[in-house]
Amino acid sequence: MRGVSIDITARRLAEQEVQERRAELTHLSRVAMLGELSGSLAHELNQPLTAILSNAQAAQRFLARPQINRAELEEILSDIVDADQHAGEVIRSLRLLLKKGEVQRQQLDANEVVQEVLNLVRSDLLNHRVAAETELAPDLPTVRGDRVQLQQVMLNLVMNACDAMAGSDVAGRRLCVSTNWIADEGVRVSVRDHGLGIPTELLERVFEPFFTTKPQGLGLGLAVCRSILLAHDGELSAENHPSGGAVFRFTLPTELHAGT
Amino acid sequence: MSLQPPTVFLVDDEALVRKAVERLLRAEGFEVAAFASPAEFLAAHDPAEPGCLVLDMAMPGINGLELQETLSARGSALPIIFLTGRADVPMCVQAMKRGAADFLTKPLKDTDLFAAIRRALEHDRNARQTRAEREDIRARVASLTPRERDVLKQVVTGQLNKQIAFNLGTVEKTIKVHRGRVMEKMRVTSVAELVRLVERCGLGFQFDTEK
Repeated sequence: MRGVSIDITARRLAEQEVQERRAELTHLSRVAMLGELSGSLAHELNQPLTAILSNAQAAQRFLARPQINRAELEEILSDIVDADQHAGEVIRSLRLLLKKGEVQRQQLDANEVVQEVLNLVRSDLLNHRVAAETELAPDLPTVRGDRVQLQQVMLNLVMNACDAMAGSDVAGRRLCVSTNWIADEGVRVSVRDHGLGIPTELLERVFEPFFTTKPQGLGLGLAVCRSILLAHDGELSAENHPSGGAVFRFTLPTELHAGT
Repeated sequence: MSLQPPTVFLVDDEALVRKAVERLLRAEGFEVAAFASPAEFLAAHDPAEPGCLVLDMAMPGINGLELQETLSARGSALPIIFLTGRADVPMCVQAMKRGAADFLTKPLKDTDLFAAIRRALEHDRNARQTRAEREDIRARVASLTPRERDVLKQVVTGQLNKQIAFNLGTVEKTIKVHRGRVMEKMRVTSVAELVRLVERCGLGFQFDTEK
């Protein structure tokens, strides 16, 4: 009796350790990505700060005039509030992504996750001169997942897509993100770049740990993404688009077909 | 020369920033015309309007540097003040090499922005004045007959009437008449003034090859 109970404890401990390691790796990969984004994120905060400062200085000047235009000042204050909220959102998403939090499963709108990530990388896309196009299916059923981890997957795929197009003509640097509802599978998110594509023999290898084509890369990003999807009972795959570029797709089961 | 007040043309794709900077400039008393994209600005742009351009560097589609290039290809001499969120040295260098008037980083210090704009407007006014004068002088030169132009060319190189007459195979009296008409048409009373005019016009001595 005693021996059995010890055995189970050891196995549980080992399992727990594996999970902790995985969580650490996931977090590490996320932090590394945000490190790469730091310049663009600073710019993303700089914009609302610029709006706030210029608005406030304009208001100071308007107030110094003999006749004060109330409506104008109200508009200025409302814009300051908007800019501040925008900055707050950037910081909030950043804090969430940087935090080493517990995995929290909740009902999520995949379109929202896509949009949140695109908002966060807006400056980075501008910097890479990549134009983002979205085709988001309306009325998608919700998926059950961890918001931060799914954002991480999305972020990783978007940043990879940008890197894949770094050598392309500026006009051809198009990122297409679409969401769809696939019967019997769930919600699918596709991230397509218009780069050179992936050599066929590497399509599966890109998900292997430490496989990288980037001089600075750790080669963990996609491996971690795949493990996140597995933990969500979903999947992540890569293929080349018939008319050029690579497409990464991930599918998440929805409540609707989780019961089947 | 136009007497209309100069306009500060502002191009920034981000609405909150654009509105804020536009307000700040209006609060300081500048005439402002704001645009959400380089394309929108180009569609409305009239090179005859005096002013300066306050241009965001990073925008989707055509970016600041490309707009600068397009304008210069179209012969626009509008001074450009670049705004940038990051201290991007290579971009800054490129913009400066192509004649950017200034380079400011966001968030903007109001006094720096105003000073840069006043410098740019002053530069634009002077440049427009110089161009207008030059055109005026060119028009005077264009009103000369080919013969008068020959005489002008020799007068400004310091030749005496007698020498000019010899060079052009005529008599001194005829040259005197031509010379009088040149002075009249060029609206000057002395050779010194004439030389200065021709120099300012920037044509050197090639004016007879032009119309």
